[in-house]
This record gives sequence, structure tokens and C-alpha cells, in this order.
Amino acid sequence: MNRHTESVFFFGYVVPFLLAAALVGGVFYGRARLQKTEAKRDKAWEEYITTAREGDSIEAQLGTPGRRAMMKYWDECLSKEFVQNLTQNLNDIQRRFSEDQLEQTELGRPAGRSGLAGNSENPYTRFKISFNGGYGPIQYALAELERRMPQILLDDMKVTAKAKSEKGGALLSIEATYVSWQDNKSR
Amino acid sequence: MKVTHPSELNYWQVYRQANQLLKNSSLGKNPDWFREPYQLDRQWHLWLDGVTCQSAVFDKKAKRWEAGPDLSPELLKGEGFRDAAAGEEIGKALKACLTHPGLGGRARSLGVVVHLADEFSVNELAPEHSQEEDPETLNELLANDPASALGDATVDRALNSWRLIPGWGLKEEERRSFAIQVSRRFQGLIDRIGECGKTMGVPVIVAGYCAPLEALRLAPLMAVHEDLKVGSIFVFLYRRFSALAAIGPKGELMLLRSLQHRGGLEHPSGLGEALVNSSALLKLPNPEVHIIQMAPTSPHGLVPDLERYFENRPRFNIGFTVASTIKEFGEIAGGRMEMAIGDEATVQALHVSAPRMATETFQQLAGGWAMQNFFGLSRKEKDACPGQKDFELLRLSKWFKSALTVAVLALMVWTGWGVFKTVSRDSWQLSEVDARASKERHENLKKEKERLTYWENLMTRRSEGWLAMEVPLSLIPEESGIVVSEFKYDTGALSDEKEKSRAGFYREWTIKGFARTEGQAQLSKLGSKAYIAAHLDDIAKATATATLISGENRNVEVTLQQRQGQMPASPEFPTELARFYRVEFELRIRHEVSPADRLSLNITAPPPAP
Repeated sequence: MNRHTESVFFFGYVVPFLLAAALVGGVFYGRARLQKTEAKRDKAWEEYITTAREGDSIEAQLGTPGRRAMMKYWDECLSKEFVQNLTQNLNDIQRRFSEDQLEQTELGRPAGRSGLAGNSENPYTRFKISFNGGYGPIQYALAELERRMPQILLDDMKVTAKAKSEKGGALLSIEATYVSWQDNKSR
Repeated sequence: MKVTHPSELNYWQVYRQANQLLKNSSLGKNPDWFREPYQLDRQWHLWLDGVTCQSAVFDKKAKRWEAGPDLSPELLKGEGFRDAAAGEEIGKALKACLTHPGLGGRARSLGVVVHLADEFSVNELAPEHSQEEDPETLNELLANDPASALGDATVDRALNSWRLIPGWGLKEEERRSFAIQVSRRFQGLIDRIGECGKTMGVPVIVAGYCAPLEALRLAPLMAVHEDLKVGSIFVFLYRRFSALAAIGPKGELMLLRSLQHRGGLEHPSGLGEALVNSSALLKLPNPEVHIIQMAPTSPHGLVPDLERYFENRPRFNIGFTVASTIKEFGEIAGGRMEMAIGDEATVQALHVSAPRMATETFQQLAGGWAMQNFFGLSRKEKDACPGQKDFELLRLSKWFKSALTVAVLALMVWTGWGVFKTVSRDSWQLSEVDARASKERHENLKKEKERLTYWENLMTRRSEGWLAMEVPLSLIPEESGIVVSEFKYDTGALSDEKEKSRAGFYREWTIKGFARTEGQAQLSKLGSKAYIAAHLDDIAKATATATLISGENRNVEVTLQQRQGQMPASPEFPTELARFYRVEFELRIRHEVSPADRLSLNITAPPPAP
């Protein structure tokens, strides 16, 4: 191979081939990086679409009329100071009746676990109230208290008959123990 | 264009020079630049013996010979080559050859074949080179450094030129080659033709060949079959010399020598003696002798000389031929048979009647040894310019580079299109902020939903005081003959090993009292599980509370205990009334909701607040 052939072979073939190989290598390296980024972005896009769809779905579920408002109301109820709220409500209810019709005889915090809510990990508190009164006023009082305080549920209750009132109505004595759910924020 | 020898340039400069030659000359485009003049389609043959000139033009395609342009007497004597008039004359002659109307018009190249018939001699090689086995190397040495090859420091390269002819029939212990010497008298003419040729715009290739060697290459055409048995001696008569070549019975070259014409003769004196000595030397006792008159001379004294010499000796079989009368070469203008080397088709056709053409000697002669350019460039001069293969390689490299460029561009376009398509996709437009916002929204909504669902479960009405009171009130209406003295309501959880996250629950009503005779029918109903279940359903429908409705995951158990007993008197029931209530009962209703029921209690820890 003479000097002409060597120079032609080197600059005419070897150098262009190496340049082309470098370019091709660069292009493929770029493509590989692009594909890597593309895969990352595709994953992010799929995640975005999925979260957006799921978010819309949850939003639709939460958007059921009254649902969020109910939670807001519950939050308000749960956030109030319990004893004060209970006392306030009982006083409000009793004001509607005479002492003959409804008389609160006890309000206390009994010890021990609740039979119904004892297994729950959600915090709760128990309270016991006693009334003397007519069947109707007592049932109304309980219903009104449970309406005003949706976080309470009846744990146990004992009703016994008592002597008639002075006005001649039948009197009952009732002892009711309630469980009141507490929000973990308010603990 | 000035060409620099590659040894003086670096590789890049060599490559650039080759590119410039390819671009600015026809070197790379016309392969005729690299062919011998007798190989080209259009040939101008000049046969020169120092006194006369025979000019002929041949065209291979047209297969025709025509008389060529004449040159002035001064040029034929080997003088005045550098004159302007000579250049003009040569230029006109070249143009006439290139555009000869009788040979098919303008040719793409012209080979100028100068047959040198003015001088010829055979020299001895230096002893150290006479046994050289590689004739190519020795030929190179002889051409470039004849003093060394011949072992004679007095040789003058300016006057003569040497080339080698291998002696294919020589014995190994003898010398192996013949050093052929020709005069440089016409080199000036050849160089000037070459210079003028550069202005023609097409390849004009000029070469000076030794006429006796060309004649030797064609010698088998004149041999007879007898030659194959006894060997033969060819004597080519030129104007100033004769060339004697001895060919063995196997067609091998055994001897080559020159016989100078002296004393104004046009034939060698003492040819008979030379023939006898040669035959004795070569041990060819009775060779066929062919004397061929190559030049337009009149060797009248030759035959009497030979008759006189062989008068008292054994006679050789001697034939005499005038080359211009050989019919096979009759079409060649002027009848110079050496010119036939340019007409390869004719020569090949003659091979049929010339069996010795197949021997190594004549194969090698035909292969190029007989057509050596005595005024050609040295190897170094030849190496200055890229060869035909280099130009082909260079031209091919341009295709290679173009193909690579196209391939790389195609790859880049393809990749670019891929990049465009990729970045045009929605996924590429998504900003990190949007992605993060969507994720955060989703997380918040999930937490909100989890909390809402949790609290919806906790806040479900499972056990209410007013409803607990409604059950006995509804089961035992007034005036039914039954008096309730006490009732208890109790609740509790129902756990399940399989369901750890949810707890079922039960509610239990315990109603105690007394019944009189009229109330016993009602009391019997209260002991029925179906009655109680149906009644609880009625209460649930009436009060729009789902907890009392019977179902798949719910169960109602009823137990009723009755015994004879006396209701104690009280202000409300004095003795006269109480004595009618003689049946004491205890009714127990247990309503169970299993952990699988939708009303079961979620007992897991509360989700964190959002």
C-alpha cells in the first residue's frame, strides 16, 4: 500500500467512518436518554391521568349533595367542648317542659368500657343521664338530644315505672348511658 | 497542476493533492491516463531509424490504419525539438491524429507509439547482477542506475537508456538476462510530444519502444514448423544494425545480440560467421535462419556474402523476408510490422498459425517485456502521482462518504422526527407543578374520602334512645291487658375472627311486666320470633330507621318467660286492679347485626385529619 493509497484509505474511509460512527453513537445515546426521559414522563403522565380520574371520581362521590355539609356539621359538633355542649343542650331541652313532665335527676361520667364501642380504636367518652318524667317527654328529650348531638349513641338504658305525678300522669324513671365519639383532633 | 512527491507531504496534504488532481484534471475520470499507448483506441505510430520516418494512425474501434502526419526532417534527425515551430508542428500533428476524419472523428485519448529503430545494442551486466533472479528489480536498477547494473562507471545516461530482457532459455549457471541499450536521440522528441499532448485536453500518452524487441515478440509469426525441431535464429535487419535472436527448439530465448552495420553497409558484415558461431555456442547444429528486412534499405551485398561464406561449409537453411511484404501486416500503413503491437486483435488472430506464441518466452514478451518504454518515468516519478486504483478508491470514497452522510442524515431525521413526536405528546407537556398538584389533590381527596367514610360509619344511627323506647311502646299498646313494670335496653359488640376491622353489635330489650287474662293472647304473639321480626320491620318503616329491618346479616332472637305471679299493688294499680294481673312475664328481644353487615362498626383507628 503506497502513501497515496494509505492517505485515501485513511481520510476517505477511516476518518469519515469514525465521524459517522461518533455521530451515530451520539444520536443513539441521545435517543436512549430521550427514551429514558420519555418513559419517566409517560409514567408521570399515566400517574397524572390516574390520579386525575380517581380524583374526579372521589370528587364526584364527595360531591353528593349534603355529604360535605354533613361532615362539616359533624366537625362542628365534634369540635365543641363536650360537657358544656351537653349541659347546654340538656338545659335547652328541659326548658320546654315543666318539672312534672321532665326532670333531670343525674348527669355523670360512669367508669368502664362501652359494650358497643369498646372495641373501637376511635376515642370516645361515656356519660349517664337520669330523668324522671312522662314517657313522651323523656322520648322527646332523648330524640332531641340525639338530634343535636349526632356523635352520641345509646349504650344501655333502664326504665322503671314510678308513681303517678301530682297531675295524674304516669311517671317513669330512666337511666341512660351514652357513648359520645370524639375526634382525635379534639383529644 | 504542479504535483509534489508524497514523500515531501504529510498524509493530509497527500490526500488533498489527490482530491485536487481528481477535481481539476481528467486523471481520475479517464483510465487511459494509466494505460500504455499501444493499449489505447487511437494510436499514432512513429517508426524512426534516424534517416526515415514511417507515420501511421490506427484506431482500434474502426479497425483501420491510415497514414499519419509527417514530421519535418530536422525532428527526424533528432534536432530542434525545443523550437516553437516544432511545438506548433507537433501540436498540429496530435490534433490531426485525434480528429482523424477517416477513423471515426475525435478520440478520447491518443497513444503515441515511437518505435526506436535507430540504434540497438546488447550489454553485459555486471557480474554481481548477472545471476539476479528477480528480473523486475534488476530492470528497475538498470533503468535508474545503469552504471551500477552494468558495472561500468563510464556509461552516459544522457545519451542512452537501458532495459532488461530476461533470457528465458539461458542455463542457470550462465547469465540470466540481457541488458538492452537504445539511444536517447529521440527522447527530446518524445518529451516534446508529451508536453504538447498536455494542451490537447485529453490523455496523450507517449512511449518509446525498442523496435527489435517488438519484432522479436512477433517473430513466431514468421517461423515454420521445422523451427520446433532444430531451433531458429532470427536476424532483423535495420538500417544501422541488425538484431540476432536465437530461439531454442522449445521456443525459449537463448541469445540476443546486435550486429552493427559498418563501412556504410546496410547489412552486417560477417553474418555467416556470426550465425555459425551462434549455432555452435548454443549447440543448435542446423538451425532455421530467418533474415527479415525491417527497414526500407537495400542490403544487396548480404546474399553474396552468405553464399561466399557457406561455399565450403555445411549450409544452413536460411530464409529471407521483407517485413513490409508479409501479407498479415499488409494493412499497416508503411508495412512496419512493429506497429502491429498496437493492433492486438490482429496479433491474436495470427497466434493460430504461430505455435511458438504459447511458449513462456513469447508469452512474457507479449505480456510487456517487449513493450518497455525506454524513456518512461522512473518509479519515484511515477509514485508522485496517484495511480488509477488510488483515483478509483478516492472516487469510491466520495460515494462512501455520501452514503454515510445520507445514512447519518436519515438517522438524524428519523431521530428528529421521533423527538418531535415525543415532545408533541401530552405527556411531554405536563409540567411538574401540574403533576404534583394533581397528586396532592388526589391524596387530599383520598384522605378526605377516607375520613368522611370513616365518620359516616361512626355516625350511623345504630342505637338511639328514642327508638329503644319506641320498641316496647309499639309492641305493647295501651289497654292490651299487659302492664310493663320495667324494661332494660343493652348493647354490645359482636366480634369475628375473620373480620378484624369491623365489629357487629347487638341490641337487647328486656321487658318485664304482668298480664291479665285479656292480655295473654297478645303475650303469646310476643313470644313469636316472626311476629317480633315483622313488628320491628314495621317500626323501621314507620320511623324511617334502617337499623331494625331484618336482613341477610341480621338476626332476631326472642325468649318469653311466663309464670304465675301476682302483680304487687301500687298507687296506680291498687289491689282490686292488681289482682287481675296474675301472669308475670319477661320478654327478651335480641337483635343482632353481624360484622359483615353494612351497619357494622368500623373499629380501626381514625384516619388522620387532612
